[in-house]
Amino acid sequence: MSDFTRVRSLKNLVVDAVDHGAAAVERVHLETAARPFALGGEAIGPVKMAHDAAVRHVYGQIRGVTRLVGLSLDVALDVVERRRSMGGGR
Amino acid sequence: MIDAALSILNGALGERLVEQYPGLATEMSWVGAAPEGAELCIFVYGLMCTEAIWRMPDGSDYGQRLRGDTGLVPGYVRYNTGRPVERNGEDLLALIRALPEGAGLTFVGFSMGGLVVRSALERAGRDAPGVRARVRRVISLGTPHGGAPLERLARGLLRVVSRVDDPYARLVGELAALRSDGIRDLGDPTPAEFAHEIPQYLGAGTCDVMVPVGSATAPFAAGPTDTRLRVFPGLGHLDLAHHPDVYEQIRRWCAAAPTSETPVQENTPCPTSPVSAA
Repeated sequence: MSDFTRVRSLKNLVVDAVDHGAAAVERVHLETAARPFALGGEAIGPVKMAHDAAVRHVYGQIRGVTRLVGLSLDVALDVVERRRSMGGGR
Repeated sequence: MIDAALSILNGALGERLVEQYPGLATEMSWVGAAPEGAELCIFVYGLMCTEAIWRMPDGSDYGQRLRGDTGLVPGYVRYNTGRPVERNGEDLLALIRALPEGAGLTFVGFSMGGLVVRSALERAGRDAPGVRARVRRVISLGTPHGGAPLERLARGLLRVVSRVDDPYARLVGELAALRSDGIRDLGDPTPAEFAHEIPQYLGAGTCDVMVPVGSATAPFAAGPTDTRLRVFPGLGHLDLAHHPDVYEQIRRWCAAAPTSETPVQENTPCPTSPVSAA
């Protein structure tokens, strides 16, 4: 097993862990917040909507940035691996 | 350090690592070169361990000492402990079958390693009787033959948690569901009837909270003819893999005729046990 395969797998594992972890925490966050909002009745509906949108936005940003970093690392690894295979890189 | 981290990942994620992150998965293999000799002693470690688990305080290990004292040539197996025990048994058998034929085989399995050895030899009974005929003895140290109570406790707690309508409880349940097949396999007792023609030696520690004496010595209670046991007073689970007293017993088991020994059971209080301290 090459070092690149190992590094790539580690990168995928970290990206997936952050991605799934953020999704799980987001779900808990929304479900937990829904309980006190439920006590407020319909009048508090718009506040809940604004809250949920903000929460989804924040966790979405975390996932988005993580995926972006993952893709950037993929590109960087491809470049380094190609240079190595051509014998030009260190 | 990296090896230790990888072994924990392998033990925790098992097949998921093989399928999704293959670069991190450990394949069944020998540590270093495959052993060569007329009499081999194969060491198989337990869940989330590395071969470093065999290292004794003086830097030696059971294999090195056995080589000097008895002439047995040690071979250390490395594998993904999170895979199902049966699959690891299959791979272990394949590894053994790839060795030159004719060598006598002694197995030393620590914790889950003992189950992997049993699984390999059960399969050998069907697929490779020639291999099984060459097995001199099987030594298992802290092996949960009767099942691991911690895994059973976890199953019970998860059943309770799954009925609770709470987002945090659901999160705990989801995280616990990620645990590997290897961990789940530890909760189930292995069948008592096992290769009665192979002498079995069982080591257990009185301070072992992971695998209590009753579980580690379950095959003895089942009564196969050549089963012998030794309960080590004051030793915890990990101690069994690298303790001078355990080595001394292994050396005697490897040197003595299988049936010449009287079972030893000692009931010395555990000095470090929270139960005895209370």
